[in-house]
Amino acid sequence: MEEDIKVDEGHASLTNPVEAVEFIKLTKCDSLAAAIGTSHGAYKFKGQQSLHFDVIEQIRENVKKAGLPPTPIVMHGSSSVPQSEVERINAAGGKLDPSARGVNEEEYLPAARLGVTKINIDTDGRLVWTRVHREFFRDHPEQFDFRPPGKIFMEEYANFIAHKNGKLGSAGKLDEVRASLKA
Amino acid sequence: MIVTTAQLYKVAYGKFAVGAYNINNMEQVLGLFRGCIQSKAPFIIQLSKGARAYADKRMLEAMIRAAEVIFPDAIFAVHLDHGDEASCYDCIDSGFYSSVMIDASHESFDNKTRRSPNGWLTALTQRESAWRPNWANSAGWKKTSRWMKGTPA
Repeated sequence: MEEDIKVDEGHASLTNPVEAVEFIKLTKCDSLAAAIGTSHGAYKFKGQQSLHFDVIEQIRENVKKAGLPPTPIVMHGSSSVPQSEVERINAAGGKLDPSARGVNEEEYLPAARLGVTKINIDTDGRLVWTRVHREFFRDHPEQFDFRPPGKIFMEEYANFIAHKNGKLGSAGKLDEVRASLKA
Repeated sequence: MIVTTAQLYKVAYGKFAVGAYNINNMEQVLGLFRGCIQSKAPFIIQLSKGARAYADKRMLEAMIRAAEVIFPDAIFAVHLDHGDEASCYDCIDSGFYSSVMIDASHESFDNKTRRSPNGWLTALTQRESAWRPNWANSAGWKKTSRWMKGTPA
């Protein structure tokens, strides 16, 4: 959950693609955080929902028609809130809403191909932290050193990041980026 | 190596997405860099207003500078997440940030446009150099690299 941001489920509305282009024209922004069906926090959706690919596509088309340079779309609140994480946290003393759902990770790359270039992921990382620490202290109630769970967390967090980068399509692109910086 | 967010966009646009991950503490920083090196991925570090207050913005900057030394192969941008006018100016002036975001999502269309950082920057051209900083020449960078060299290993 990103701080100070609360969007009620009922009030979360989508970006108007015509307004989006007007905004890009007036501000010359480098990227635009558009509302394309996501929201912050662990309680995004009830049940499975999909991103609004039609809105993403329309923004891209309108930008092109207006003769503006391609404008990357930023997707906020893009955590997937894996059910397995929620279950493990709750099995270790947590009380998270088991009906919480996030964005389907398989939709990251199709969205990226339509111009979603920055994908913000925070909640899923917090779930990793909570799961590791709850499980550690449940299984080792006699311990009070913060380094053993910290070590596990860093390893789990690295694996989590590598997994996400795989889904985003950014994994393996480091050399391409390096080459473009030299060009 | 810290690059601008625009440089990452240039490579990624239409092909893949760059992950933008928030950090609040040391364990997250080390885990993030390890994960990105492990998967050979460029990335964006996001600092929220909340994180800058929780961990102190100077502590966050110092941790990122240290991680840059520990992981010389990493390529990433540093971004202000959900800023307001004051935090945007502060980040631009610091010369450390690659990009800033202003959150005007609850404003009317006219106010959104007025509050956009690039909206003010068209009027404030002298800030343009801070907005797209040349890292090698930025005063903040030199100061910090000296500080890094002076830090006992």
